[in-house]
Amino acid sequence: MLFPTIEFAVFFAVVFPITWLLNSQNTWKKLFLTAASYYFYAYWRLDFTLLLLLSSVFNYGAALAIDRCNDRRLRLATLWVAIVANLALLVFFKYWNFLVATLINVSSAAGWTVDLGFVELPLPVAISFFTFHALSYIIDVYRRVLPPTRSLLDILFYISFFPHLIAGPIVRANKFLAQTLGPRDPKNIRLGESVFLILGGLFKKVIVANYLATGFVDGVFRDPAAASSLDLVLGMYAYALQIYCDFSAYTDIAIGVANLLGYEFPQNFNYPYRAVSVQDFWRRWHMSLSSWLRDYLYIPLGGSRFGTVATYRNIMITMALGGLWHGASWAFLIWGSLHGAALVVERMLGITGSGESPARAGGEGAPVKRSPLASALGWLVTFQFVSLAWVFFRAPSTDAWLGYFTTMFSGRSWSTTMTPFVAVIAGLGALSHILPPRLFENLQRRYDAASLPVKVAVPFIVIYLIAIAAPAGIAPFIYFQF
Amino acid sequence: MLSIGLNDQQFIVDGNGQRTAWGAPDWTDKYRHEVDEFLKAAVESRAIVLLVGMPAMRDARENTAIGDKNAMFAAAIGALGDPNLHYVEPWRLRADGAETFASYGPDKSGRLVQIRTTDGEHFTTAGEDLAASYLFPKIVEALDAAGKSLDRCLGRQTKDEHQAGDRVSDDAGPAVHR
Repeated sequence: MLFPTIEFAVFFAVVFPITWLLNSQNTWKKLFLTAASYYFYAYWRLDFTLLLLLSSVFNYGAALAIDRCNDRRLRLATLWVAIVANLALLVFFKYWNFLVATLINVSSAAGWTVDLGFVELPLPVAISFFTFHALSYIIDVYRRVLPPTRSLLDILFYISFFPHLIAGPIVRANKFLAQTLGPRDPKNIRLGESVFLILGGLFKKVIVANYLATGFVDGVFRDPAAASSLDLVLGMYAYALQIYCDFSAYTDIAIGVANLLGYEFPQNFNYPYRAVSVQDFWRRWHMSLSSWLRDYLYIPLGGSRFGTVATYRNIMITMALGGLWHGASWAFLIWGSLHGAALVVERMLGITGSGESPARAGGEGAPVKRSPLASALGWLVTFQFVSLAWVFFRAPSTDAWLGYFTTMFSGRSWSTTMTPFVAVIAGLGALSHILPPRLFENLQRRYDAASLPVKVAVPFIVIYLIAIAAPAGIAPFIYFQF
Repeated sequence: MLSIGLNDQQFIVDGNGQRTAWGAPDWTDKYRHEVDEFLKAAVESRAIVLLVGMPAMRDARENTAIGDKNAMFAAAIGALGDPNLHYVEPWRLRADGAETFASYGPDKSGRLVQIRTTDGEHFTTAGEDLAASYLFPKIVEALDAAGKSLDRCLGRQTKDEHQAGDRVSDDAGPAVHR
């Protein structure tokens, strides 16, 4: 079930009070939340729940087996068996057909015949996310970052917990399992922040992302060859806003819902379109994925420890695979690789992520803050690059993005089909990056200080207004397909 | 040209506001009635209608339901017998043999590409191109059968009209072109 639906509202209206009623009986609470999470997942498709259960049980056992190994090589071998098993599941469901088609095409071009069958099975919802959760757990057990839990319930709960199950954020096992050890303190609920995250997320998804998609972006991307150059440029920027509002909305709601239930999730977005470099962008966009890739792929590959060429290679591999994680297509691979190439170029030019210039020549002295002009230029270049790269994300076929760029740069026509309404919606989406955070913090403080009737009325009024302003039907969140 | 039915597995609300739930015993009859009413309205308006059957679906139950609907559409159009109403067999990946769902298929150049989306229902852009290539001749055929020109329907001059326009201009001053 989608977050911005009546079904979820009813679901949460049941889950929330029962969770807190059971709070002092932690095991029963975890059992209830796990059951609720499996119900949430089964709402998509009942047979997928078996896969989720099997994955969780397997990784529970794998972690125990890894921990029991005293021999270092056996420990590592056990870890690799578990990693391969997890990735095999992901590859089978998500990438098998893509790999078979690629192999057949390459072989055919070389004059060989390859006879491999396709697998026509539905893609289990959230498989990329729960696989990454499982991998982070077993790898952290191997690294002795955390001991394996003896409680199967805790692992079932961690991997299936419904706020993060479908589209993240990717929550590290060591951070989450520590929260399952005992009852949660209701005083730790940040009510104002959670309510504003949820309401803001609903607005971003239901109003901004939905109207941008249905009112403009879908039409432009459906047939780029028929669109004007201006429409394609505006479509590119509009999609950049749409995907930010869509994805950040989901994780905002997930973080808010989790906090209302007493659990902390990590921040996943930090004004990514304010980034002054691509490095800076990846410290602001889908932060839970980028840190996962850094810790479990980039660093094990060697990170930046083995020289310049190895560093560039590791960056390219990490970003290319990060792109491919999103979907089985060359377009996602190209998208990831473009970002990898941009990160490599920034390293070559000595551009850091923070907007600070590298230390003065000779390596001495404090880092120098960039001038406002340099920061502005950095922001401009970064935003153009990120927006251009999103075209590959949205038009996931070679012909589609080739057609998009060819027509966009042809300067064919500068008329536009963007309506004033869509322009206003885009402006509202852009405000989410322009308005200072302290504005929302002030509103949250006022909400926290308000009386109970006001605290109850505000969400109801805002949700009602969103509901009557919303377009008919709710499109699934973009990141559900991953 | 239209294709309907994929999202119709839900309740039907008739003209009196009465709801018939999906799965109710009389749902199929109500749906058939809606289809018949739509086609009769098309006949009265003398519109040329191509009702395209839905392609194979990945989910077996959905595939069976789609097959039943396609048969219903074909029977309804056959029963009306109007020359402007056409049932178009659904696009097939394989020209012969039993049609089964395939997420990958050859594009125009013969390269294997994804033609159906991961939901097991819709076409990708490449798949839409294949379906469009299959359907376009059907549109031309239907228009020809009705004595209409595709160019005229698209708002362009036909070749004959263009030549007629040139002859008028030779006889009577400046040409008047659409």
